[in-house]
Amino acid sequence: MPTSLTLEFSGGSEFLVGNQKEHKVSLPIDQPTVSQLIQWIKKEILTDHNRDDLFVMDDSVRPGVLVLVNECDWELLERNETILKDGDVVTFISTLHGG
Amino acid sequence: MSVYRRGLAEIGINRTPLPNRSKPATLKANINSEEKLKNSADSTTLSTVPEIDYSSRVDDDHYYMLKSPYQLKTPVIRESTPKKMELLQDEEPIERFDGVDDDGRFHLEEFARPAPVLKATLTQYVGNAEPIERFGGTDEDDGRFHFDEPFGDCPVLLERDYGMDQNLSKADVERYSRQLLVHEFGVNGQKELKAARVLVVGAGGLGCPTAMYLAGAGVGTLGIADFDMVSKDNLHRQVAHSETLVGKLKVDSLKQSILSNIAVRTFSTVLNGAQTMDIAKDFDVVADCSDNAATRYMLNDVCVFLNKPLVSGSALRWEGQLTVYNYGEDGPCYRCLFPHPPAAHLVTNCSEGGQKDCAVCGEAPTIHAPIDYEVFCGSGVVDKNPSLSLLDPNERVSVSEYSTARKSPTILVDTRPKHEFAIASLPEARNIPMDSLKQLEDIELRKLLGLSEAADVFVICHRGNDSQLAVRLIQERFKSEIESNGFQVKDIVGGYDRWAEEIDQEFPRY
Repeated sequence: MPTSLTLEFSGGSEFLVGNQKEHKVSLPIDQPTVSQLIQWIKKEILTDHNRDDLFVMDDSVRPGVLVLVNECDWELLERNETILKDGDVVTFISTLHGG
Repeated sequence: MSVYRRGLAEIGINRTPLPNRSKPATLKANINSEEKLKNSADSTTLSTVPEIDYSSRVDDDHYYMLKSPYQLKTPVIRESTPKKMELLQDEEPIERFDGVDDDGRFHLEEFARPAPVLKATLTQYVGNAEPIERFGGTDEDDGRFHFDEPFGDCPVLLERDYGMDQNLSKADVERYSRQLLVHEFGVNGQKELKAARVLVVGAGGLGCPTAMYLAGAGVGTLGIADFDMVSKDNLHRQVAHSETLVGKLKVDSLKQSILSNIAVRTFSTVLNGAQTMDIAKDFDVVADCSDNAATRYMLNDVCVFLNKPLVSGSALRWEGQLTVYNYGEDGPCYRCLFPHPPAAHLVTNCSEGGQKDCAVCGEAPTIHAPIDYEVFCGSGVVDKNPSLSLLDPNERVSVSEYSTARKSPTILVDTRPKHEFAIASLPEARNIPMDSLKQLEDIELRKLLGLSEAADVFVICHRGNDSQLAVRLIQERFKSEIESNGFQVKDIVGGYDRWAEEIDQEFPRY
């Protein structure tokens, strides 16, 4: 059964996904983990594959990208192994360094 | 032996309204006091202080200065008046009856309403060997005169004697009244803010408002650190800097915008770890308003070592982020959240570190003192100068060489993004942004580049970094054409910025 998710990208990570901050997607996986979601994003919605490494690294997100599942930091959940349900909102925030 | 006693007095003050602040006025005061003696056997003399007339003048502070009636050797005491005040006199006569201030005078603020009446609780010290020295108030600790009642409209104020917190001056109260009235903030908030020392690192887009608002709110000491100078393209967001100070140190410029009542310390060097340790130890909170990863890691580590909270802000384009690190017993530090610096090519692995594993604040830290953060992050703290040097000198031309070359037919490729190209460009430039250069098929790119024209190709960008990458890319993709047609692909050193600096000052720098 596919899983419907809302993906949010901000802090600059939206530039990697067609400069669009919100994506309503349907994953062809039942109860995917965040790790599976990241791989799916890499394959399906990262538009500029020359710059994949600005988002993905070693099967996870690159250092400096915060991941929230339903507005909760994934560090408080199971990180890559967090299981996603239909309707969940997953947020990717690149950290900024501008001052 | 001192006898400590308390009584109640009423002070009525009648005044003639001041026609002019600078002219003397006459005040009339009645002081009546009732007191019950603790030990009536000691009470040998019962006296009453009757109505007393005295004059006042307006001094430089616009205060009425009332001479205390009790500076007389012997107080004016008349048996015939109602016995309202009972004073104990032993061997020593009552010599003085001090007012609030050390000069023995009452200080009454100017008032405009007629005949205010004060009710006050008075405290007296009466002793065998000691004269009555004080005419204090309800505060038993300082023996000073404090009025119980909030007097509302009553304008008679005794300076420094209104139960005001000793750490807040009258000027403080007046200046910060609007936030003192916010009860969650109040006197305690103001007091703590006044005692607080905040180091603001970075005097730019974040540092300017941070420093100005902290100063406006009444922070005690403000430290400002920044090595940079004010430039024209700062002004639109770094609002503390004024047009007249372009080219001057940002710390000095920001300091000029800070309210005069705030103590400011400035540090105008590129900070390293050791210096920052030395500077930050004298502050209570560090505000990271910097613009680079190296400084962020450095401030984090310093704050962990010194056990100080770090308030970290960042902003880019339309977004801002704010986080408080290293706060409280178990608050995470920046490294807990970001164990690896953002420069991906220097990151060795991506172990899943939680807070326990943090290299600086974890259970077994591996970093015990500031490190070299530019090496750690692979990027510097100074973002201005182009650092890339990819090409051989014979693959590059100076702006002045290009200004000569363009008199003959040349191809000028401008690799900046479209929105930058729209700001200004040389008339012959054809805009092929880096992204397009990478993504376009050979056939399209060849057309855009116009390689068939067999003229030399020059590549320009904003500051001369991307243009080098582009030269290399074009050389690799069109190697055979370049060799067979015998033209060259060259980078213009320093890009438009250098062009504006050396060739044509009419070209806008941004």
